[in-house]
Amino acid sequence: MITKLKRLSALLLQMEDLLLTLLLTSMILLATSQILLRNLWDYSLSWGDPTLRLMVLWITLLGAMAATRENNHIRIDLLSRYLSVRARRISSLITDSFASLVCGILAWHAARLVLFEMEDNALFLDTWPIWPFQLIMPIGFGIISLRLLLNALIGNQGQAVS
Amino acid sequence: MIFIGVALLILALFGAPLFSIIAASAMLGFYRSDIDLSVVAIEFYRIAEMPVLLAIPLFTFAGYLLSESGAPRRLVRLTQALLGWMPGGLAIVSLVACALFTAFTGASGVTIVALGALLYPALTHAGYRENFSLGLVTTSGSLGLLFAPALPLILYAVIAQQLGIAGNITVDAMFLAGILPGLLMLTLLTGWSIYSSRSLPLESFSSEEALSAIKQAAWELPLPIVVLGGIYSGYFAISEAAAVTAFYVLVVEVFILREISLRNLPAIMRKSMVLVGGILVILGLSLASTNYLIDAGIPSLLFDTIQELVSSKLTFLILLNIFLLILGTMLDIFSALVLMVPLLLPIAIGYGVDPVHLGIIFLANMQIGYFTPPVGMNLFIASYRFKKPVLQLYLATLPWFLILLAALLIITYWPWLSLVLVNS
Amino acid sequence: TTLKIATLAPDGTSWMKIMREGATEVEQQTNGRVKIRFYPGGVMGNDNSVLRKIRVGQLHGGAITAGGLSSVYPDIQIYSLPFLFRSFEEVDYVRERVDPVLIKGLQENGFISYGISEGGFAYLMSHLPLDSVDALRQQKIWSPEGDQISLTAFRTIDVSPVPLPLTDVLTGLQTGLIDTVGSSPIGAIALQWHTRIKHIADIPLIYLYGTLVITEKAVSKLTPGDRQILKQVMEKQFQQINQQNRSDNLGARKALQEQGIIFHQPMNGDRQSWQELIDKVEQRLNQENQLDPVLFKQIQQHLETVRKVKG
Ligand code: NA
Ligand code: NA
Repeated sequence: MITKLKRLSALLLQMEDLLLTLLLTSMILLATSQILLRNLWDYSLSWGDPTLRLMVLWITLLGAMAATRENNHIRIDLLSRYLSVRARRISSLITDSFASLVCGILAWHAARLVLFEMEDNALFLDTWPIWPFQLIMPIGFGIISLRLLLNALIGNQGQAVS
Repeated sequence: MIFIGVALLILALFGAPLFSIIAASAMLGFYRSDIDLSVVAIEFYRIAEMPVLLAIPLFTFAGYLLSESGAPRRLVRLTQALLGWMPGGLAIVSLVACALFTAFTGASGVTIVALGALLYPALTHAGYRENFSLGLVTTSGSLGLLFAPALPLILYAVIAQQLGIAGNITVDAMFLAGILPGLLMLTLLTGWSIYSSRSLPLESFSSEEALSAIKQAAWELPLPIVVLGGIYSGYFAISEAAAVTAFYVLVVEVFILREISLRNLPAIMRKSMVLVGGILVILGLSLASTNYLIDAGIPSLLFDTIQELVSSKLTFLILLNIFLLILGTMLDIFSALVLMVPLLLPIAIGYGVDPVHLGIIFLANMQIGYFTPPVGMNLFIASYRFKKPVLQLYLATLPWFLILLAALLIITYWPWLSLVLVNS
Repeated sequence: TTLKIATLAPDGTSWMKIMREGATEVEQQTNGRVKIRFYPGGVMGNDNSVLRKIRVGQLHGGAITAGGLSSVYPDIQIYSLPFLFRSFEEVDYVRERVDPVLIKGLQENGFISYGISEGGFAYLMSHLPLDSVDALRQQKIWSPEGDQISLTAFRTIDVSPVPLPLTDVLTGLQTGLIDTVGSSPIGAIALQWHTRIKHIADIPLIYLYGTLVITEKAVSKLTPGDRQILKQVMEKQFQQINQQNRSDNLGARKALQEQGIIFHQPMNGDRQSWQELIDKVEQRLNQENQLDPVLFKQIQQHLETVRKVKG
């Protein structure tokens, strides 16, 4: 059972990385082909730029999720280097739980935003409902929150930032 | 309220992720003003409404790809072949190469690790004093911050636009504004390098070597020309230049030169997007905290308070420099930008400082802050990378620090330098 | 009570000055019971962002373009159908009769409007001659990003426009990415586009306008007396803005002419082909946009009447 769970979680992590890679690749290709189309064939994709901007949002959250996994967020962190190992453990328990709580609240309010957009029938490119494209916000912050909580409870697993 | 502020500061100092601190302060502010907290999510969503942000993942990926390939080696060889014959040649090579490299990769310490490792042995081998060489590579780690397409220039424009008080400040304006101040720094450091190496024997120029170096770097050579030329001539929008850069670097390093295998590509993509996620998540939440400040009218309150204490623009600028230098040693540049620009810009405008000029002053300070003793980040990175005591690095960087301080004063008190290209 | 209102108009414009005057007047007349605080220059984000913030209560209102409000009340953008009006006379005649309908429509959707303010006619302006329909098809035309109406309109007449955000238009003109824009005369001068333009097709392309709305929820919290004061003052100010914009646009038009920009009148034969093109666009847009057909018919009848009178 536990090995199965572990395999599942490994699979999910792989999917997450794959999604990140695919997003960046298609961003590069879409942005470049827009330039080519415009200059060589005088043609413009009306959906190109809005789509690219949504992809930036997705990259932001997927990147932040990955950063959480590696314990690699930008921190000010001037004091913890002067702490003993034990004190550092306690301090990271507190700071990570705090950050986890904050992300939980963020996820909740992001979910409310998505719900509002769903109720208001907001459209992407005047065609599709936009809310599925916004789901990355609550999901992303939710996962970050869980990861931080896990970090707080079982200690820093990833490597610290240089 | 003060208690909560102090608690957040302590959490930050003990290593809570910066984005969580910013988010918490925004949410507390809105909560106290009886405003629905989903405003924080609404502000965060504006990430998907700013066209210029597309440039950030694309440039960052290109920078990571370049630093993982053989490009740093070729860049050093090329500049050495072209500039090595001058007095202080190798030193100048290092400065120019680092500046170029930093402009493309941002000053995240990558320059010291990727280029410094090549340059430091070369410098000492060529007879430069150890401390001179150490000082040079450490200083160069943040040199180039003022040249396009460095991310901090882009971010400053984005943040300043959000405040709605800076007229029509644009990324293009920031790119133009950074050129002369950046060149001033480069020139002064070059002068110091020539002076310091006056007793070293000169190398002769070899056209054979130059030609072969050019040939070797043939694929990368068009990059700065196309990108910078494209941006400065206005042919490309910023995000287009970023797309061209990312695509070109990808094709060259992976498919033509094959220095990076397709199998390693996902790892590099992922690594670069971790940094992008870290930066943009902070930016998105700082949009919310900035929005709280605007909603509560805090910038103008702050200005009124400070104006009672500081009467002249000159005094204000001096205090600003001191404050930013200290800040720069403690915060990384992205954090400093999102935290301080929303507060400083309205004050500076109140004193009649041009928003574009303020941006250049801000970044110039941050650049020096990277190696300001005792806690500038690059001092530690260099100490770690070159296995030298931090104390020695303090000493080694001192002359460089003083020279750039002089440059900073010129940049601060002579706005013409930053503004002439923008206004022409 | 403090009413918080966002707008894209930058601070310091005559627009904001008139609005602030109104705010002072309201505050005085209500003895400080009703204050209005403005957030100019787009600091609260674009129209969508402002509407989201109105929904959650951070803001109480905004000066929003017709296109921006279409998600609340689609019919509000009915005046912005391309080629609908041919002259300001027609605009005045129709608006006098139809504005109340639109304002009522907004109210039914929870927004009190204090009047519609004109942004002027947008004309096609180009670096290259615009003397015929064929010339138009040769050009690289800007369409505002996200503006499906203009996109559909251009595609209908076989032009593939270049969608760009407003901020990139000047650069686009300088680099030749686009050579034609649709803009009002004041817009073209304010955004410096006029420096890159030599020709203007003297046919009103689209009527631009916006409105000041405050949510009914916020207004209903005021006493009936204060509500009345707010309505009187803001409607008066908005009318002033409307007139000011009209005269500013006429002045800007003159300035463009004096600068040597050529205004092309459609020639006799050309008039025909322009009209064909206009009819085609109208038909297509009516199919695609679910605007109220009754309202549209009403407007067309008004237009027929005014055109007949004019002869
Ligand atoms: Na902020
Ligand atoms: Na720093």
